[in-house]
Formats: sequence, structure tokens, C-alpha cells
Amino acid sequence: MEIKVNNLTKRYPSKLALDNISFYHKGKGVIGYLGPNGAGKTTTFKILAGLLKPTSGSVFIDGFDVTKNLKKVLLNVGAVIESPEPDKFQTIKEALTMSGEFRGLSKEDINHQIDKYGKLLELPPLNLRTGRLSKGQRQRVSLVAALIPEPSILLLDEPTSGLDPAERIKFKKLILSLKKDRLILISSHVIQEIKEVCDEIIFINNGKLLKEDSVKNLQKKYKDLERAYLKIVGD
Amino acid sequence: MAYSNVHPKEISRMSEIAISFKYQLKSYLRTKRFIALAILVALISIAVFAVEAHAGVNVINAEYSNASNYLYSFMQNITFVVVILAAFFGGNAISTDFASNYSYYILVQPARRSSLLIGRYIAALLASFSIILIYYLFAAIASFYFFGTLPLVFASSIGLVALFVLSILSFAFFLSSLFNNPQTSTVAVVILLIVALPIASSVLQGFLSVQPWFLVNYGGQVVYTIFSTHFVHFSQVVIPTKGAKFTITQYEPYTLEGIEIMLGYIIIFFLASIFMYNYKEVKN
Repeated sequence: MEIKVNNLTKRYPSKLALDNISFYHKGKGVIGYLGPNGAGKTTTFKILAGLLKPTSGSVFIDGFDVTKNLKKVLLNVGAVIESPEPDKFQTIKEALTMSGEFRGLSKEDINHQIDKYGKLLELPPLNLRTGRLSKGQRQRVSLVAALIPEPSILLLDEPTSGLDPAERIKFKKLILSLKKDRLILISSHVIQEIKEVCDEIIFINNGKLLKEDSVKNLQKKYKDLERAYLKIVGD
Repeated sequence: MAYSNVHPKEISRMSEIAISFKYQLKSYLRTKRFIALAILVALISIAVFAVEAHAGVNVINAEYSNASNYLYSFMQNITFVVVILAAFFGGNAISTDFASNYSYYILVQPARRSSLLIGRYIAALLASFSIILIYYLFAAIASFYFFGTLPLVFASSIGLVALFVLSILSFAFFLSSLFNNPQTSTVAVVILLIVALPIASSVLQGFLSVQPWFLVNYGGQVVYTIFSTHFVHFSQVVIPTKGAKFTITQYEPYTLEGIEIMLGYIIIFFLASIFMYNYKEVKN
């Protein structure tokens, strides 16, 4: 369980989205990736999952270079970035089964995992086509898909967007349970959400990594996370 | 939430392709466009057959004299059908990923993008081909009905039409990789394949006397020219006008030439599609 980001830069034609970002985490726990909209959070996640290529710098997950060994990286990574939409003509069961099949899981294991996480996240009937689901339901399907292979690393970019308050509470409980044996990188611009589940926080704004510290230290130093956020990131 | 006995493992490229193919084909078969196109092709085939049957066996026999000539005429519409099918099944093959949030679901799976695309390509071939077979089925029925026989080259034509579908799909996949909007890419494919290429082919041949060996629709003509009993590769018609003679040239491809053109399109444009799909980033 290791994420190593070295001098990561991503430049779009009109914008510098990430500016020489580096961080390193090893072992289980939840790392919050906190910053305002447009800070560069999603860009970082997309690079970690191989959806974008870095302009410069490198990313290693469990020792594998994301740009060179993406398949090996994704085998052990569950990623929910933005609001994924499975193929709208697939049923929920098919979308989830496909995800398990790509990871070489047996039918029995896939069914077991769908049952386990489907119940936990209260998925709609599995024979429903995903095109008929609400945004929140699709988000939960994507979460289950990410969890089916029991990955040791989870990349969750704004995973609660589209979820209603009750679903957010369930999601929080799930993360607290999952963090016992996984490394989870989770982004949000909702401080409360991050505070409740994270062990460490990375603050980012305008593509720059501003600060990285444990929640304990931040609370000790700034009294609470809201204040820390305002001091570090600004209004 | 302890770990269960679930242990992901790398699967082979063939397995990746098979998974992509299986789910993509299911999706294609569930689309309204598949059902609509299958019904449309069946209706057109029935209508053509019904009109000719109404005219009577003797009239058709007198007009075409044998089954090959009849099929040469019957099959001329198939190139249009192929283009329509390929446009609908291939025109958004890549662009749809990047226009919707589907990319966030499919591209985080541990599978090579090239495998995903090959699976889609084979699925699109099968979806298109299953509809084309409806047309061939009616052609065979009509041939038996009017002439009591089916020429052996009928089987070759089926093979050639499969190549033609693959070549048009490759081209459509490539065009779809140039756009980020599936509607735009589908329309672009339709306009290019149904309007622009046939016009270009006609102008090049008819007025400039240039053999359009580089156009896939020209190569695809072998699907029906293979039935020709008096094949002419090159012909010219001189039309006298006031003060000058006007010459219209027409080429028909040799079978081998048509196969080469189609293979060229399959290889070049499918490789280009894979390159583009690998290269594309999920930016929006």
C-alpha cells in the first residue's frame, strides 16, 4: 500500500493545473485531498488512475509506474473519479460482473462480492439497467465496482457527490470500516466529511501542494480544521 | 471489513478482448438503432422481393437472363446498407467514452485500451453483419425463386461484404476518435461515407478519368461486381455535345484490387484508431 508522487506537473494549453506536486504515503489509512473547486484535485486523481498523462513528474503506486504499468496499477486500485457512468444498456449486475471479470475473479467470488457490497450500499435491484439510475445510484454502483476486487488502494474523488444525506452517513461508515486495511486517498471540498474519516490531510490550491499534515497536528495547531483550511488555503 | 479470499489477477489480452466484446455486443443488441435497422433492412428486402415477384418470374428472367446478373443488380444496394450500419455502430465507438462519464467507469478497469477497442470492433462487426445477413438471406431466396439456383460466388460475396464492413468500421472508428461528441462523430461519418466519398468517386472517375483506388467505397464495389458475367474494368462513354465531345469514364475494381483496398483501410485506420484511443486523455 504505497502512493508516491514525484514533482508532478500537468499543464493544459490555457492553465497550469498541477505545479510540481510531491507526496508519499505508505500503509493503511485515509488521506484527505482538500482544496477548493479548480484546485487540481481531480487532475491529480485522473493522473493517478491513468486517465491523464502528466506533463512531467512521475507517479508510482505499489512500486509500479502509472504511465508504464497502468494495468498492474489498476489491478489493485479501486477508483471512483468524478461521477462514473456504466454503460447505460448494461444492467447493474452486468456492469459489476464486468468489473470483476477484468480482474480475473471467479463467478462465485464476483457474486459473493456483489452481494456483500450491494447490500452494504443498498443497491437497487441488480437487473435494472444503469441508464435508468439516478446519479446517486450510479455513484453507489461505481463504488461497489471499485470494491469488488478488494483493492488495497482506493482513489475516491468527491465520492459523495450525488449522494443524499442518509447515503453520505452510510458512506462515512463504510470508509471508516475500509480504512482498517486499506490506503484511501479521498478528495473533497467539504471539510466536515474529510475531518470525520481522515488521518492525514493534503491541502492543495491553484495546482500547488500547500501543506500536508496529520489531522491531529492540524487540530492541535489550528484548533479546528475549518480554521486550518482558511489559514492554509485562504478564503 | 477484513479482506476476503478475493485476489485479483492479471488476465490475458484475449480474455480482455473477450470481456469487452461480450458486453459491447449485448449493449449493441439492446439499442433501438439495432432493432430499427434490422427491421428497416428486412422491410426493404421484402419490398424489393415483393415488387419483383409481383412483376412475375418471366419478366425478371427476361430482364436479367441469369441469377448472377440478377444478384449483381440486387446487391448494389448493399454497399449503402453497410455504410449506414457501420456509421451507426462505429461512428461513436470512441467519442462516446469521452463525451459521457463512461470513461470514468471503463478506463479505470485493468484492461488495455487496445483490447477494449478490439472487443468493440468485433462486436460492431457482428452487430452489423447480422443485419446484413438479412439482406443476403432475401437475395438468396429471390435468386432461388426467380432462377432456381444460387451462384457459387454468393459465398464469396458474403466474405467480401465482411471485409467491406470491417474496412468501413475501421474508418468510422478512426473518425469517431477525432471528435469528443458522439452525435457529431456519427453525423460526420454519415456525411463523409454517404455523401462525400461517393461524390468524390464519381467526379474522379467520370470527369477526371482517375481511378479512385484509394477510396473504400470504390473497393467495396467488389461485393456485387463479383456477380458480373461480363466484367469491364474500364469503360468510357462519349457524349457528343455542341462543339465538343464529353467523355464519362467508369472503373470497376478487380476483385483482388478491391480486397487490397479494403485490407488497406482495415489495417491503416484500425491501427490509427488504437493509437488515438490510447493517446486520448479524459479531460472534461
